[in-house]
Amino acid sequence: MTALLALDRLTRRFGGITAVDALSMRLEAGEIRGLIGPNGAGKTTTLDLISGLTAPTSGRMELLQTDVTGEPAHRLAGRGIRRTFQNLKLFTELSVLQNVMIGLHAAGTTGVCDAIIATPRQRREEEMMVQESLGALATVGLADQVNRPASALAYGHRRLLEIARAIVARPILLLLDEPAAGLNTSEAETLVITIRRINAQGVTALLVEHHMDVIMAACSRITVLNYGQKLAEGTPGEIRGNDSVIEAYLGRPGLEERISAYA
Amino acid sequence: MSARPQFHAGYLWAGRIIMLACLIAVPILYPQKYVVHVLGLAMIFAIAALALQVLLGFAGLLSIGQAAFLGIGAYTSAILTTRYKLPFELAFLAAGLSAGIASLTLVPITRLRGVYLAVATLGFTIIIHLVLLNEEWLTGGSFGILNIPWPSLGPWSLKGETAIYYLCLGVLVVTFVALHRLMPSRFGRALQAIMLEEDAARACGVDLTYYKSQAFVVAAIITGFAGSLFAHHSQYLNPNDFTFWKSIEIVLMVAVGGIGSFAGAVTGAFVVTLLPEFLRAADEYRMVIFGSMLIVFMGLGHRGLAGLFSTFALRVLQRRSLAEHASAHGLTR
Repeated sequence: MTALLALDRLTRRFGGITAVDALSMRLEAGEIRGLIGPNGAGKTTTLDLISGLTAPTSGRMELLQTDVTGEPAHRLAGRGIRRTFQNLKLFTELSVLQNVMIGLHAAGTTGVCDAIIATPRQRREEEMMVQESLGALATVGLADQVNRPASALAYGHRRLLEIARAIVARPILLLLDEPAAGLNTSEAETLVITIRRINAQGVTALLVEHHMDVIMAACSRITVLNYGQKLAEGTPGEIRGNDSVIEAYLGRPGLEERISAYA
Repeated sequence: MSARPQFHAGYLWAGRIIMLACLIAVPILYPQKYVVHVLGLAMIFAIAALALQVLLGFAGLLSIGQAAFLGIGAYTSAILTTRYKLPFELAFLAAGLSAGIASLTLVPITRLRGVYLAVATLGFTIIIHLVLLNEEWLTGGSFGILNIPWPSLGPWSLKGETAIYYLCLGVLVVTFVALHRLMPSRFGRALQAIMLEEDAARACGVDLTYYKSQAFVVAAIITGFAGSLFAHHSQYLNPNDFTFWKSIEIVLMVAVGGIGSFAGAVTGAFVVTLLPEFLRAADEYRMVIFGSMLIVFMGLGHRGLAGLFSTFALRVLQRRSLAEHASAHGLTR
């Protein structure tokens, strides 16, 4: 199998802090990869780097064997890397449909003059964008909310709208930043089914999540970050039994005994 | 931020057509030179306010530099028609073009955000004003340009206040319709995406610098057209017509009318241009009145006169539909 995305010692420093430290990672086409780690481990920065919202300090990133290191976000979006945001970044004043249509920006070509003259090309493109967007909204189950303002949606639905906006352009790589945050158990289960359905359409996914049941249910492989470095990588079963992962999440074994010894 | 109040599109278009009918009727019903002149001026500023609305209301870019584009358009048109005797149509197009080209110098500052961008555009106005004032070989310096001819369209010469009034009305209507088509398009959505969530816009594939620059260019071209009309409407240009106060007045028009509404921008332009004419006696208090209006409107939530009107009208409509509903219910019972 060829790697869809290959990170080679990708590093991002903010002043004195190294948020992502020489991270090397390969995503195979078609997989759902989980990215986990304690708070501040560099998960969101990793997504920012892959989606181009932050430029790497050093290292290299390849998408389908093409060097895309340091490319800006809009160009990477055009190459098929799309993402959702942990703290929802919807265009709240616009309708649900318009939000998703902006996701198709890179798929369109019409400009100012086309719009003012209302050329046939413009009308065809608008029609295409509406149809594609309705399709994406149906995929996530928001087909009945199309004309509401995004700000009127319930919290869970806003999360789904983020996903619809990210998948509408049929990306090759979908980055999901804590899509289950704030969802209840049944909503999270529906989310896993939705992610699997999107993946079945040929979209590789990288999933950052704190809900372990979502990660374990959705992912084929998991990468664990700690202090910006890769701590472990493997199948859900391997990760669950990995000592260093347990240590990073729960602290050093025996720590509690030592603390109680001093008390 | 909550969503904007929504009207049935039919009501909106009915309102616009009534407004248009009123504007068409004025020179016929009140054929006084002064009234027609001042209303013509209001429409010219309405065009400039529409252009700023694209920047401020849709892309979230506060430009205090619009008077510069107005001035560039006005002087281009005036110089081409007086010195080079070019026909008005060509000068008009050149005015839009030259303002558009001048706005390209603003491309580097589109990286700036909020206040920094506003201050940079303010600097641009000041520079252009100084150029107009000091480059006497080109602009006539503080004497300005005299005897700018009436406009013409092909074989027709548009002499007199009424003719140029209808020309301004025509350009205003075309601009209004064009912008109404532009905003629900790929371009318009990209601008709104930038205003509402910059990172999300980038992640959707929107090139920020490109679209912000394009917004500036579109706004500058429209303002340049307004400048050309201004030159031929006053028939005399002076650099002091294009100081940063004029820029601030254009911002006032949009803010008073309602940020995010094209009809609001037009209304705001009429209010800001016409109010001093009604308050001739209290001319010194003009800015005080505008200042207070601005504070009140901003306090009411940045939708200006358009926001107040739509809230009021929606309430009336709602009440009426409730009443209709109730009476219909009563009848079936």
